Amino acid sequence: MSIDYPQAILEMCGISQLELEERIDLLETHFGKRFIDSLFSRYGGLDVSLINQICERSILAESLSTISGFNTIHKKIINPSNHRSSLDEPHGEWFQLTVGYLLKSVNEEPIFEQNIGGKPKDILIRKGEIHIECKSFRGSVASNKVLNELIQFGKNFKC
Amino acid sequence: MEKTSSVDLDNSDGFTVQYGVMTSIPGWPPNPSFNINEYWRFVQKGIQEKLRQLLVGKCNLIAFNSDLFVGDIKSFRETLNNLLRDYRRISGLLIIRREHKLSGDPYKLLGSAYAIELVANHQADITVPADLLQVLTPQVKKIALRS
Repeated sequence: MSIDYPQAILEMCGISQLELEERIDLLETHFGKRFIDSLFSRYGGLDVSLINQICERSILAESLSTISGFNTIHKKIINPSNHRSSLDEPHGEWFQLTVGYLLKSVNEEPIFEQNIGGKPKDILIRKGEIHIECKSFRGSVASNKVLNELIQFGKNFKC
Repeated sequence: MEKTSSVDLDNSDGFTVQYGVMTSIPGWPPNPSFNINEYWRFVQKGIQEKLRQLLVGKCNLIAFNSDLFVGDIKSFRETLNNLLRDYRRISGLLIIRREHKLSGDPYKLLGSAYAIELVANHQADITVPADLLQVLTPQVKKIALRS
């Protein structure tokens, strides 16, 4: 069933309804319909930041799903016991995928979550010769709140 | 060995400083000050944590996001270079900087572009291969996730 998304929000993100639906389909394929449905019900609909996350995360999933170790990260993201799971949480795992994607973009071949010498490695490239550990710092709740207020103010101001 | 966390949370170790917000709009924002993280202290803590996981005799990189970094990236790069001298097991740091792609219309957000940059440690036991250095330094490689 097709849902009509608010045109103004789609325009703000520079994306058509068809493109957005394709992105959501991709995410459902890789992370399951239940996971995506739960996001929509939790967020209470689409907003600009969620559309951007949908676009970005669908690209990561599409690009990396066949890479060794992706499934381990995928399981952590959709872990049903983590009620905060989203397109931004767990933050460290999403960052790990982003780093993997960026390395792939410069023609490296990343693999994820390998155990080398008894130590778990986030990412390996060059047949295991280069080890990459990832550390992501998440914005504070307070500063995110201010940013969201700013975005909301901008939307209202335009209307 | 248990994996160290790939994320650090704010406010857990007092890694915050208070910033004030000044606008010309009366009454906005409702709370005129907020805390943001001290990025530099996060990096130092992150390095200490990840050191335990690095293998001797391998090229070890640590990737950090820099979404919370505020300041002059050039002087920050020099600071990182100096810091790395004390960590011979770290071959380099990958700094991932997120940039919002705007269309020119301030209320149109076209997704993200990422800049990826390798700060190499020339004093490391195992240095970064020259061809990888060439790809990621000295120019920042910009990669758009959406066109």
